[in-house]
Amino acid sequence: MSHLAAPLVEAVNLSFAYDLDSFRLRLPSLSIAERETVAIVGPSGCGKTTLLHLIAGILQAQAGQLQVLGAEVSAMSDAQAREFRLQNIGMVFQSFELLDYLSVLDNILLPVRIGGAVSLSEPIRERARQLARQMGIGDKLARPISRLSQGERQRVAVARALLLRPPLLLADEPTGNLDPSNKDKVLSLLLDYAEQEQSGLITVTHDSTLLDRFSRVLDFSTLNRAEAAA
Amino acid sequence: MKAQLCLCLALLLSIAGCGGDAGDNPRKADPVAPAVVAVNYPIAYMAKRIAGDWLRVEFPVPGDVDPADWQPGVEQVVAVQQASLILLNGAGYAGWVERVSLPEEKLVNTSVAFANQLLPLESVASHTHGLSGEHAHTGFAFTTWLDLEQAIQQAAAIRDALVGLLPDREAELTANYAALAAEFQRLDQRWQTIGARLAVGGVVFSHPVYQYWQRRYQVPGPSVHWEPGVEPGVSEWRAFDELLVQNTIRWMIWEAEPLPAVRAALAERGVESLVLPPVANRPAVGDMMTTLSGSTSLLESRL
Amino acid sequence: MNGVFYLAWRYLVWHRWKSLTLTAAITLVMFVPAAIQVLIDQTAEQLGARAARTPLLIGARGSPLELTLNSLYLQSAPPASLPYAEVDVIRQQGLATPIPLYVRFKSRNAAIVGTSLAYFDYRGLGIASGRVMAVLGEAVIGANVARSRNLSVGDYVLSSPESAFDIAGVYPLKMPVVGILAPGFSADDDAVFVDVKTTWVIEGLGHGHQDLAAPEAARTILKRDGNNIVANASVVEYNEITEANRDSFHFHGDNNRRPLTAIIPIAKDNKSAVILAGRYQARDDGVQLISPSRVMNELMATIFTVRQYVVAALSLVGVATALVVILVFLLSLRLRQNEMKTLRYIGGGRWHLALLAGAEVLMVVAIAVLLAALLTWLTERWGTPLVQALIVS
Repeated sequence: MSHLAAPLVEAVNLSFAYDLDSFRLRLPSLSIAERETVAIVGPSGCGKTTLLHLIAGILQAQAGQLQVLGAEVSAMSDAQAREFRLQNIGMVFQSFELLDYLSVLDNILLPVRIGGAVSLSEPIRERARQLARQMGIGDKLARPISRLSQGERQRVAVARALLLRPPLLLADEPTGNLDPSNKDKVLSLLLDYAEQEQSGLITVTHDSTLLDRFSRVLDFSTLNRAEAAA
Repeated sequence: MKAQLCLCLALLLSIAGCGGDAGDNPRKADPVAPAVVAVNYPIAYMAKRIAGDWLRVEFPVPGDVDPADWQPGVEQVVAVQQASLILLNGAGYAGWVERVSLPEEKLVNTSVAFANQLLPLESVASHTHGLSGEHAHTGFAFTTWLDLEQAIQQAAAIRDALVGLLPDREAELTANYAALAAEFQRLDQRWQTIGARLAVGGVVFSHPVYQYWQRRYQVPGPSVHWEPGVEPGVSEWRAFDELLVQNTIRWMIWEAEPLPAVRAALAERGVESLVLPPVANRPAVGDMMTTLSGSTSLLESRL
Repeated sequence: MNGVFYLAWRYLVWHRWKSLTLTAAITLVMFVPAAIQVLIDQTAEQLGARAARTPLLIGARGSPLELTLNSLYLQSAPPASLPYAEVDVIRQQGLATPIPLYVRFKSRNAAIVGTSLAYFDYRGLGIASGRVMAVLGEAVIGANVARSRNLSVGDYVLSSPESAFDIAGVYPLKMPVVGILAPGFSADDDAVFVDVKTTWVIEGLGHGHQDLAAPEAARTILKRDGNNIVANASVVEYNEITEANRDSFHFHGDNNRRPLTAIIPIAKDNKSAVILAGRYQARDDGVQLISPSRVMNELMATIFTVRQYVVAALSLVGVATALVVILVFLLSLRLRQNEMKTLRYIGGGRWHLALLAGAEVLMVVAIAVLLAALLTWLTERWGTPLVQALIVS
């Protein structure tokens, strides 16, 4: 971590547990610097996705502090967290989470349609089209999702995540369902964006072949003290 | 001085006779008076006598057509439909009425008062065909007006119908009817006398159209089918001669003046020709009353 | 907000068959009871109006409903006939003007109404082209007859045989069309009007034939018996009344005994109507006087009762349909849980997501309501004539 950059994520004594689950997350401290590209690894169930959801504000920690991009996410209300997430965080999921009743363009524009904070203006539409071209799917904007390959679908998901130029990208197993060729393409897209926009990238992954492309690798099985204690 | 006085008087009198409005002269013709249509001339005559100038009386049958046989064209029927009243003789006189569509509320049967006294015609010809059985194209004798008592009743029916049309003129219409009825009654008296005289000598009638006249004035006698302007053929003369054998006949009553040759031939047989026109259509000269009166005078002079 | 409805619309379009089925089901549930209501109300109004315009009707004793339907609506089999003499009876009483009706025969599916000229004035029927009938055999046709058969003045209509096998009975009469009525928006639009005497010709009570005394009829003569000529059945009877043969047409028997199916007495005033009704009530000779309004009110009361049952049954069906629709929507919501989760992850607010789920329901219901309203309006506008045409055809 560079001593000159403000932290991208700063967690202190973070504690979280699901209501009906015995799983507990206890993070004494975590600090991710601005513009770091971090890969989080660990066995299944160790809390990697939970951490991403806490960072995104999808889940609320029961104790501790969590700052993301300087904002106290752990103290936000659900609406504030949603608003914060919409404007600052781009999320990419393992199973793409695209809406099959929308076209490629409409899926990319989805954050705007359901967010409400940003209007669906022509500049936004043009950004979507430009992202699609960058992803190599610019000629498929009107096509339904069901007619795309796996790799193309994940690129749509990446374009959706990048639509509002978020300073932080969270990717949960973004290459988990892709073949080796597409894995490389998608990861390159994410890393290239992070570098170009000088934004942060936190990626949960099981793929050890990709780890050397990140600036930092965190083994969450050792970070999560609850699991470590268990 | 006297001449100037007379001139002024004449001038005053002439001025007094004109310049009055229609209300001062109740008989002035109304150009838009409703129309009354009659199916034969006697009915038309009676209607005109009663209605005066208050109504237009129309009799659409041409002068050379027997009104009983008249068949109107479609345009004529359409015109009749527009009339305010359609005066029927009754007794099935106008057979064409059965084959047209007329507004029933405007139809007036002038012989309703004596409908149960109509004389059925003897079958002239009947026929049978198909499944319908025998039927004759006959009905009732229809020269009802030749019985002047019936004519007066027909005039009364016309009066009632016209009063219904012009209730405000009831007094004038009734007065006109009374005058007409009085004339019919006087003529009826003369016919009674003529009838008594004719019955003594025996009468044959040139056409079977005098049934009601015969009944009213009690002049029995056979009828033939001779036209005034047509010379009878041999078979007709033969049949006539047989009639003479079976009947005492001194007079033959014609609808119109017979041919001189026919008159002479009848005279040779001891039969004198007399004319009593039924006036079913317009007479060439005069009107129904003048024609009947004139014929009656001739009959009186001959009997 | 626009985005949510756009997403909801795309969802409906993507699942178009489900959306169409739900929309159709909801539309039908709303439209069918409304249409029944509209059709019955309109029919009742029309039937009632026509009955109200005919306060009195005279016919032979029998079913008042059959008499009313035949005389006013020109439908149903003809009732027992009454003699034409009854027309004179009414006229002589001076209480009403009688309009004779003989509605027995048809020209294809159009009733042939034998009547008098007064019928047209009474019903307020104007002539759109041509004129009313003037002579025997002429016909005036209703607006719908003219349109459906593409007839104009100068064309012909033919009376239909009552039975294909009764070759000795009613035979077709060819009738020239002399007038076409303006639309009356009633049963009169579908009828052929002739003089009542023409219907008697159709029945065979009057006819025209070649002159049996003419030479060309000689071969038809079987024998001459005095003044009676007996001819065989080959004598030519005319099946069209023309200018040339009209004077040969004649009627047999007593005019007063010729048949009618009904008489409409137009009373001079209310008092005359009451007196007339009283006189007919006192009669027991096979003639009745009825009030068509009362007859139709009784009929409509029955129909309204049936309608209530039908609407109640449809309402139950509607409830069942609504439950099924709700179930479908709930299942749909369940299937969309992952979608909602994704949208929440991306940044969708709870309110937006709820609206997105609800928008599907709202849009389907809104479209169904609009469709039901449109169909109901169309039913109000064209439903009754369409149903009548379908029933008649």
